[in-house]
Amino acid sequence: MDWLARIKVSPLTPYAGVALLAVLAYFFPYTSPSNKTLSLATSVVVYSIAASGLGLLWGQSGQLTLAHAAVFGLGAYAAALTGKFFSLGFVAALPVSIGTGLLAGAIIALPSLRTTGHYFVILTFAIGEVLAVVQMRLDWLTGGANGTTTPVGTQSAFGYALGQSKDFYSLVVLFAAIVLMLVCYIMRSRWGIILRSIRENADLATSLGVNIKLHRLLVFSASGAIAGLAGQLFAYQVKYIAPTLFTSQTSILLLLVVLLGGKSYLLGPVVGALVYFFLPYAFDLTPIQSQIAFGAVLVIMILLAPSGLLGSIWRALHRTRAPKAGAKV
Amino acid sequence: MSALLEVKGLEKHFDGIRALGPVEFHANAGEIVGIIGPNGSGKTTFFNVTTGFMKPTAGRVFWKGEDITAVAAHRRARLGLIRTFQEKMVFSGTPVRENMRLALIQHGIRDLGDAAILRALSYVGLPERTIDQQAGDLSWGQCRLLGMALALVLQPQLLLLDEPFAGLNRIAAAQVTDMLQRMKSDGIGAIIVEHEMSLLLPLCDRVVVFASGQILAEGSSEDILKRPDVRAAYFGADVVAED
Amino acid sequence: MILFLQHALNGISLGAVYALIAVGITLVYGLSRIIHFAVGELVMLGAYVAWETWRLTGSHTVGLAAAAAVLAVIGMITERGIFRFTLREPLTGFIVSLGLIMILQGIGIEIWSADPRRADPPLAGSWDVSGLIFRKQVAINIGVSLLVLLAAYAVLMKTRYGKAVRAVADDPSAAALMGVPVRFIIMTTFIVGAALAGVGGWVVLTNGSISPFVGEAYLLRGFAVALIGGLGNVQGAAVAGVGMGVAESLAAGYGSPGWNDAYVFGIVILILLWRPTGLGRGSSGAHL
Repeated sequence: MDWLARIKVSPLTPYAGVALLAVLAYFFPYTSPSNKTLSLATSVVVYSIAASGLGLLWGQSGQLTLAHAAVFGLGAYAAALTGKFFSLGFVAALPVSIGTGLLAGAIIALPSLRTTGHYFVILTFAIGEVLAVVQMRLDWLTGGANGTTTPVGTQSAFGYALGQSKDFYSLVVLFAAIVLMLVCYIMRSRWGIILRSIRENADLATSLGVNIKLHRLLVFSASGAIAGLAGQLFAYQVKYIAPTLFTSQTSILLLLVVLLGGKSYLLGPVVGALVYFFLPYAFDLTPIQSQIAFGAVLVIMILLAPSGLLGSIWRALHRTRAPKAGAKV
Repeated sequence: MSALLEVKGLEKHFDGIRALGPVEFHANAGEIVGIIGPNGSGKTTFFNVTTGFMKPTAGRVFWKGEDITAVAAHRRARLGLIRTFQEKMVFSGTPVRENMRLALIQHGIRDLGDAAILRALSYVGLPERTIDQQAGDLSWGQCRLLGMALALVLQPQLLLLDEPFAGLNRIAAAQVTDMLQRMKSDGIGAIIVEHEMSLLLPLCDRVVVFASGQILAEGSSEDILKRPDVRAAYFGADVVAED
Repeated sequence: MILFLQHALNGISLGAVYALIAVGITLVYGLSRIIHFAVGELVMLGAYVAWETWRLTGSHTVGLAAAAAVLAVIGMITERGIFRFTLREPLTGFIVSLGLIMILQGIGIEIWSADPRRADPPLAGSWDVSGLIFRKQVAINIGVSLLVLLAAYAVLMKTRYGKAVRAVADDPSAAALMGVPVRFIIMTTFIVGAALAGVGGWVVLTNGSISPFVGEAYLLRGFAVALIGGLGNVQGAAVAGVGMGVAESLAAGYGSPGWNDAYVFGIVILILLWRPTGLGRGSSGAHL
């Protein structure tokens, strides 16, 4: 693998990589995929965005949460309900859903200032479940268990017809490219270094003057904002949302997606989402079979390959030479 | 002139049991103070409370004459009061380069290039090639040195070292001694908790003996060794025989 | 007043199940530091084992024994096969348990379908004590739960084994130095915890209907109770379980039952905010 060592990594390489990937993904509909494939591809991209938020939080700052799906759901409801009650269009709803996610992320972070580790994870689980119950019970607002529809109609945004699956897919890819570049920027920035220091050793970081409470609050907000955006895209994709879509089960699923790809890698969530959506399709698994299979995958990955598929591939490629640092950011 | 660090009536209770105090203590600028005492005598608790990692049950901590008892741990670090840890010394999952970059960022340095990092590594005696290694892959002794390099990048005025010689072989211990002497000649003060008397005492301007959460004795290295109550509380027959 | 007592009484039988589950959670956590989230699925499996056994033999007593025994075996298999590799990093154990939730629930749906199942109660009818309706079945459920809890408590407090468990919970390294087989003791807590969940499953079955999704409700309540009692604190869990059942039953009776989950989680959130390590004094747990 000597050629690998010889590649000069420019600071712009990852961005170029994301751009290339986005271009490839963008032109995927031109291969005239089936409706099923295109809808799966859209799901992959939407979940990649949502999972990138979790990847930033968990992979970089080391903070696990089981409320991510709830924040994702709040973004979805924000988009659907502002559309329903205030006739906000897709573009006008964007700041609302992103802002809702950001705020929800910050609020969930507040308890993390007091409690950490196991207790905090249980706490996020409880918060997520309370939000699901609230969505279920506020019938007048959310439609309760019956859910609510997203008024997609004949809307278009940035020149893309939202009701048109190919157009919508392309739009979602653009959003994903922006989010990934943003996350990439964060990972490589000074803030990224600070976040990873908290992940690795919060006490040592504190002793070096890092205000870990502040940075926890900030990264939760950033992660929440990304989840909120993904939520809106999800609401416009499926056109109908209900509380059962955003329970802790979905949080576990997002956790699986992040872990599967590799939680500290930029493209980990993308790889995870690809596998998650296309593997059952390739093997023609029923939803229950794939639930069992992915449960097993989760157990096996965390035990044998906690750095995910990308981590395993990276290690396999570099087995022959001294560990090269810096590539994993 | 007031002391750099001053501690008055400091106490820490766990579940109603007093683990520390009341302790009166001070450290002057540039001074190296050794803290010795048997396990459980409250040395690490003293560090934790002084640096803000634990809230004291009673008492006050002063930094350059100002009361910092209510100041958060990370802010105390920014004031120049920095501690190291006995075991959690480095950010083990990231490369040495990134470990050092964090310290540079925290010191407000804009240029995170390798030059500044290599300078700091050579100051503590770490070879240049370690810069690319994962911090967790370093030897125990190298981790210790890296941990000190992290703290030193922030240019502390007072460094609190928690057992800097623990778990080190002779060579690594000699490296740490060299580094501490360099620090001393550069005018950086330190409080060092340590069991390894033969390594600690030559470095210290003053030694404080802890026993059962309180200060039992205080004085120069030679004076301390002569005191019978200190021998009884801490050294034990075998250590005395060795000296 | 009658209504209040009625609610309270129903609450005790609910709470008995919570207590059973919470004691298991707390034992496992107390020794391994692993938050075992799949415990709700263990309750579900216990309920189905009891149901299958009842269908085959017509006996609820055999069903109870089978639920406890089969779940004990499952507890052992999961510990030997998976959890013992996660003792160094308890958060890994927690994530493993999330995977187990997916697996066990999926298997439950594959085998028994998503339709609810029920069994004839072992004891039909009810007593009417001056207006207070007391289902005979509830008496049995409370009795069985209480007996099992008392037995667990006695074992923990009076036997050599119990002493070893407490020693490991207190200080695993010291226990190891004194010759306690720490790893083995930790394994037994997984077995006991799963068996208690199995008994809980039997109570759930005899109390009403079961489905593969029944686990979730018990997971959250089990954890709420374990937290209130203080993770690692067995007596606390037992008392808090009954308290939780009564409180929930009263809240459902006088408030709106649809919000029940929100109440339970609200309690958990408030407790964790107020006392970040739960109420009661938990153990420090094993660090391996």
